[in-house]
Amino acid sequence: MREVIRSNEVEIKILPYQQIIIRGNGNSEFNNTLNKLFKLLPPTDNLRIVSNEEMVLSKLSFDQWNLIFIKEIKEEKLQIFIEKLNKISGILATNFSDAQIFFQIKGQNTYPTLNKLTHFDFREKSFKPLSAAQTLLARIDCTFIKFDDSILVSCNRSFGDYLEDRLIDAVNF
Amino acid sequence: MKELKTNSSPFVNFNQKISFLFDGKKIFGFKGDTIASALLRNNINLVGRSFKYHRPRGIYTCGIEEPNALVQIISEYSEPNTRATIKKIYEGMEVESQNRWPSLDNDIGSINSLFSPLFSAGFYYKTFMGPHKSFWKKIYEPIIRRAAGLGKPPKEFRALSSHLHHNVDIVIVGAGLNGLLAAKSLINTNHDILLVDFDNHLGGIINNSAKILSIDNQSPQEWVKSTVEAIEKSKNIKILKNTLVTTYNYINHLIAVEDKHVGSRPSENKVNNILHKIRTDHVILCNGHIERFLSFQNNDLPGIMLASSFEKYICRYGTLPSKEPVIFSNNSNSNSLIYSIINQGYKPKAYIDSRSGENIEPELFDLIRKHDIPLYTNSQIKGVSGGKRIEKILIEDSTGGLSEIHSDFLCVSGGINPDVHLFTQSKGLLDWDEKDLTYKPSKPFQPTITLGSASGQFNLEKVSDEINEKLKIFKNKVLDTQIVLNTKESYQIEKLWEISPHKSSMWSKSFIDLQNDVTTKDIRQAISEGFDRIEHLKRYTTNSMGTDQGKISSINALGIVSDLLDKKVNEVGTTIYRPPYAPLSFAAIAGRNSYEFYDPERKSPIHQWHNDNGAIFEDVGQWKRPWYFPLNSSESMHDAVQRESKNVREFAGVLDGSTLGKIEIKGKDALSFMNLIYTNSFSKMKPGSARYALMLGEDGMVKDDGIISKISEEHFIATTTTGGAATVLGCMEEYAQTEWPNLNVYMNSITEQFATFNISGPKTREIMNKVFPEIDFSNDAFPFMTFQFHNYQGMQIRILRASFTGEMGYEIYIPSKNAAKIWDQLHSFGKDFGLIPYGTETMHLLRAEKGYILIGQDTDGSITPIDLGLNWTIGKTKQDFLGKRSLTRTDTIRTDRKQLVGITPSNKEDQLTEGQHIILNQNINTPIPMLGHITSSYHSPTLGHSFGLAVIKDGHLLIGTKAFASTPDQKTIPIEIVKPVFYDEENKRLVS
Repeated sequence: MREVIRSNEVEIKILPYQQIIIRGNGNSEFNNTLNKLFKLLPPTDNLRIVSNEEMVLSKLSFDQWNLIFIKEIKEEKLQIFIEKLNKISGILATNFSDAQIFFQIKGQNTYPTLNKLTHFDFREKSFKPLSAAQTLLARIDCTFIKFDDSILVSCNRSFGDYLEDRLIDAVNF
Repeated sequence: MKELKTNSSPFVNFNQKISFLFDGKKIFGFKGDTIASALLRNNINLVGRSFKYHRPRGIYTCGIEEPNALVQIISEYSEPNTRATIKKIYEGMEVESQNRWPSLDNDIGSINSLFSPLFSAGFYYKTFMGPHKSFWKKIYEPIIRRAAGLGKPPKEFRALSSHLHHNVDIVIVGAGLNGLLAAKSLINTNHDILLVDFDNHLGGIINNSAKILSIDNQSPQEWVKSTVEAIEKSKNIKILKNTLVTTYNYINHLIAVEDKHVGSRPSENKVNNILHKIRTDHVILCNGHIERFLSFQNNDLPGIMLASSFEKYICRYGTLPSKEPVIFSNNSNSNSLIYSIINQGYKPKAYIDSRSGENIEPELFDLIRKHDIPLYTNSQIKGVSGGKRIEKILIEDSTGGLSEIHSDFLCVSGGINPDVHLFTQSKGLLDWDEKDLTYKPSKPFQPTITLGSASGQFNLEKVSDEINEKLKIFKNKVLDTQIVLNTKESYQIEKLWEISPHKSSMWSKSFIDLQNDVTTKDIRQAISEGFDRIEHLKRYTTNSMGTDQGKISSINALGIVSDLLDKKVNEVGTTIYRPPYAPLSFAAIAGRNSYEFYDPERKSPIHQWHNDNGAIFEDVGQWKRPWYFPLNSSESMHDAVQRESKNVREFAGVLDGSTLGKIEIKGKDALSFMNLIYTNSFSKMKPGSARYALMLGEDGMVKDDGIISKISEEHFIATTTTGGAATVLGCMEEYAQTEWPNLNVYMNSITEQFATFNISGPKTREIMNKVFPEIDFSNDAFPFMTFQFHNYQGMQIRILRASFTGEMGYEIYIPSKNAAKIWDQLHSFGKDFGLIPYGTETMHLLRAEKGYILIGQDTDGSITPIDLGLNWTIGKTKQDFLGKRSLTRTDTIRTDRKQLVGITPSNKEDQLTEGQHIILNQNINTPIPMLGHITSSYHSPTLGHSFGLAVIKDGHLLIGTKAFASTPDQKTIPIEIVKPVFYDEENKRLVS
C-alpha cells in the first residue's frame, strides 16, 4: 500500500491487490467451481459484485468475471487457484495481478475529483454501491468498483504513472 | 484623472478604485466595472477600428452580443478579441485596442474607408483572380491579413484550465427572473439541477433595468437575494455563476465555460477556467432576449448604443454614458430607459419613435409630456454625422420634414428577439411571429423547455403562469408570484428594418453587420448577383458571421432580404446559429490535456532503468520505448545504433520487448480457432513448440504477425506487434462471438502481466546459462522455436527460443513485478560477455538485415503474404482461415503485384532513404512510371553500406536487375534489386 495524496477532502492510495480474470459461460459447472474454490457464487447480472472479507468477484461482461483478492495471498496459492480453474476446459483463468494497478479513492470530494477526468455518472441512482463499471478515466480504460465508503479504480499497469499523475493533478486543480 | 461619473449600484464597489491601462493610458474605474463601463465612466467612447474599413467604433452594447468593443488583454498573455462589455477590470490590467496602427486615434488603415466604395460584397472573389494563382498566397493574402482582422494571436503560454463533467436531471440556463423562478419552483424536489448563469450577480433583467418595481411585495434586489439564498440552501440545486453555456449538443449535452478569475489577474497556481461538460435529461432555457439595432446612415459611429444597454449601464454599473441622449425606437421595450434616465435626474434630449402616436403606450406619452421631452412620432432617423463620434442627428418627421439635433449620444432599439442560439443548436425549430416581428422557438428537438423572453413570451407579469404550465411535468411547486412593473406595457413593435438615407454618399454607410463591416448595400448587391438564398448570401457577404454571429443584426438582415425578395420572413428562413454561442479559448477546450498530459503514456515495467541509463525514447503508439542508448551526450543516434547493432552481431544485446502484445487463448476448440484466425496450420505442431504466424484481414492483406506458442491442443499463447495488440485481441473476440460462436474458446490479454526481454547474439547461451543455471539451453534440450515454463525464484517464467535479429536468441517472459530483478541479473551476468541494452532502432536495423518485415512499415494494408514471399506461412491444406478466399481473387493472384525485395546501392557510398521511389530510367522526365518505394533502409555496420527493403511491381521477377532510386532533388541513385535477406541466409547463426 502506498499513499498517493491526501488533500482537498480526497484520499488516494495504491493497493497491492491480486487479481484473476476468469472467462467462461456461467453455467452450473462454472458457478459450482468458483463457489467451491472461493466460497462465492458468481454474480449473474453484468457489473454487479459479490464480496467477502478476502475477495471481490465482479461480472464484467456476459462471459467475463474479475476476482480481486483484497487480502494478499501467497503467489503459490494463487497459481493453484488458476491451475484448478484452468483444468475445466470451459474456463480460462489468467493471473492479472501484475497487469493492473489499483487506486482506492475515498473522501467527500471523490466524485467531483473523478469527474474532472471522466464523464461517468457517479450518482447513486446511476451507480449503486457494490456495482462495477468500465469506462474512460483521463482517456484510459478503467474499471470502477463502488463500495459504501470508497471507490476502487483499476487500469493497466503501464498507465499507472500517468493515471497517478492525473489523479494528483485533479485533486490539486 | 477626469471626474468619474458615478451613481448608485449594488454591483459596483465605489469605495474601491481600480486603475488599468488602455492603450498605455492609465484609466480609473471601480471594483465591479467592466472595461466598457470604466471607459464610459471616463467619457471614452472610441475603443476600436472596424474589421474592413477601419472605421472608428465605440461601445454598442453592454453584454456578450457586443460586435465592436473587442480588445486585446495584454496582461493575460495578450488574449485577443475580448469583449470589453463583459470583461471585468482589475488593478494593473493592460488593455489594447485592436486592428489599428500606429494608434487608435490615427490609424493608417482608415485609408481603407476612402476606397470603401470599391470594397463591396464579393470584392475579394472578384478582384484577386490573377495574374497568376501564386499571387493570392504570396501577395494578396499577406497584405489583406495585415490590413484587416481582429486581434493578434496570443503569445504561447501554459494555461491553467480544467474540465468538469456533470450528470444532472435538469439544467436551467440563465438565472434571470425566469431562471430564478423556475429554480425556486423546483427547490427540494427529487431532481438534480444545475442553474447556470453568465453573470456573477444573478437576476438578469432585474439588475439591468428599471422595468420591475416589486416582486412579491419585495424590492427586486431583496427578492433576488432571498430567492438565491433559498436556492443555495436547497439540497438539489447547484448554482454555477460566471459560467456561459456555449454549446448545446445532441442528447442534451451542454458545454459551459466558467471564468474563475473574474475581476482579478489570472492565477499562476489555480485554475482560471473550467470547461463544464454537462449531461442532463432536460434543459430549461431562460437565457432571455437580445435587442436589435437599426440600419441607417452611419449607424456605426461611436456614441450610438442599444437602448437597453444604455439602461444596463445605469442600473447595473451605476454609470450614465450620457446625460441627455437621443432615443430612437420602433417598439415599447425602450420605454423603461426613459424612466431610468429620469430617475437619475436627467432626461433624453429627444425621443423619436417610428410608430404613430396612437400605437404608442399612453403611459409613455404621459411620462414624456410630464418631463417636457421633445417627441417625434411616426418619425425616423435618416442618418447621423460626425468624425470619431456622432455630432448631429438628422430626423425625418411624420410630414416628411427634416430637422437636425446636435447630440453626442444616440440610443437605438429595433426590437427584441428571443435568444434562440442555444435552442437552434439543439436542433429546435423556430417560427416567425408576425406580431412581434421575430423568430420564436417552436418545436424542440430534444427535451428542451424555453421560458420567458427566451420563448418569446415578453410579458413579465405572466412569467409565473408560463412556469407553472411548462414545468408541471417535474411536479414543481406552483408559483403565484406577484410582479409589479414600473412601466405598464405589453411588448409592441412596428416593422422597421432600415431607413434609406436622405442623401446617398459613396463613403457614408448603413451597416447591417457591424463586426464584419457588411452594409445594407452589400445585401442588395448580393441579391442582385443571384445570392438570394440566405445561406449563400451569408457566405458571400459575411453577414452574421464572425465572433458575434450577428446577434444584434441577423433578424434585420432577414427582414431586409424578405422585403427585397418580396417574400415573407418565414419563407426566407434563417441561417444556423453555430456553436459556440460566444468564443471560448483553446486553453479551456484543452483543459489539463496538454504538455505532460497531452496524450496518455504507457511505460514498460523497467522504464525507470531505461531512464536511469540514458535511454532516448520514441513513441510507439502510447508506449515510451527506448530508441537507443547513447554512451554519452556526444554520441549521435547514428553512431549509437551502429555500435549497438555491431555489438549484438559480435557479442550480445538485450531489448525490452515488454510492449509486444501477448494473448492467452484457451478452450476445447482453441486449436480450430487458431487455425481459423491465422494463415498457418497449428494442427501438427507439438505442444511446447512455437511458430511464426500471419493474421490477414478478410481482404487477404497482412494485418499482423507474431509467434504462436502451443501449450496444448486447447491452450495457446500468441504474441502480436506492439501497435496491433488491442486490435488483434478485438479481432479475435469479434470472430469468436460473431462468426464462430459455436467454438468453445476464450482469450485474455496478458500483455501487461508479463515483461518480455529479447536477448540475442553469439554470447547469448553463455549468459543464459549463468542467469538460469538449472536450465539446459543446449540445442538438443532447447531447440529453435520451442519454449519452456520454469519456476524461477518463486515465480513462473516462460522462455521461448526465438529471435528477431537473426542471431541465436531467447525471449524471456517474466511477471512484470519481478521484471527489474531479472533485467538486472541479465546485465550483471552478461557484462563479462559484452551484453548491452539496445533500442528499437537497432532492432529495426538487425531485423531488416535478416529480411524480417515490420508490420505497418513494410506492409501498408495492401500486401498479401505472397507479396512478402511468405507463402510458407499459409496452411495449404486448411479448409478455411481468415482472408483465405481473398487470396484467390484475380487481383491478389496477379504476378505483377508489388512485392517485397531487397535493395543495395550500386555505389556503396550512396545512402538510401525510406520513401524513395524505385524507377527503371536514370533520367527523370515527369510523369515517370514508378515501380514502388523503399519501405525500410539503414546503414549496416555489418555489410558496410546502406541497404533497404522495398515493395515494387513484379519485384520477385526483377531480383537481380538494376534500377534507380529517385531523390527529392530529382537525381537518381543506381541500385540493384536483390533478395530481401542480407545476412545469414542459411539461418546458421539462428539455430547455432
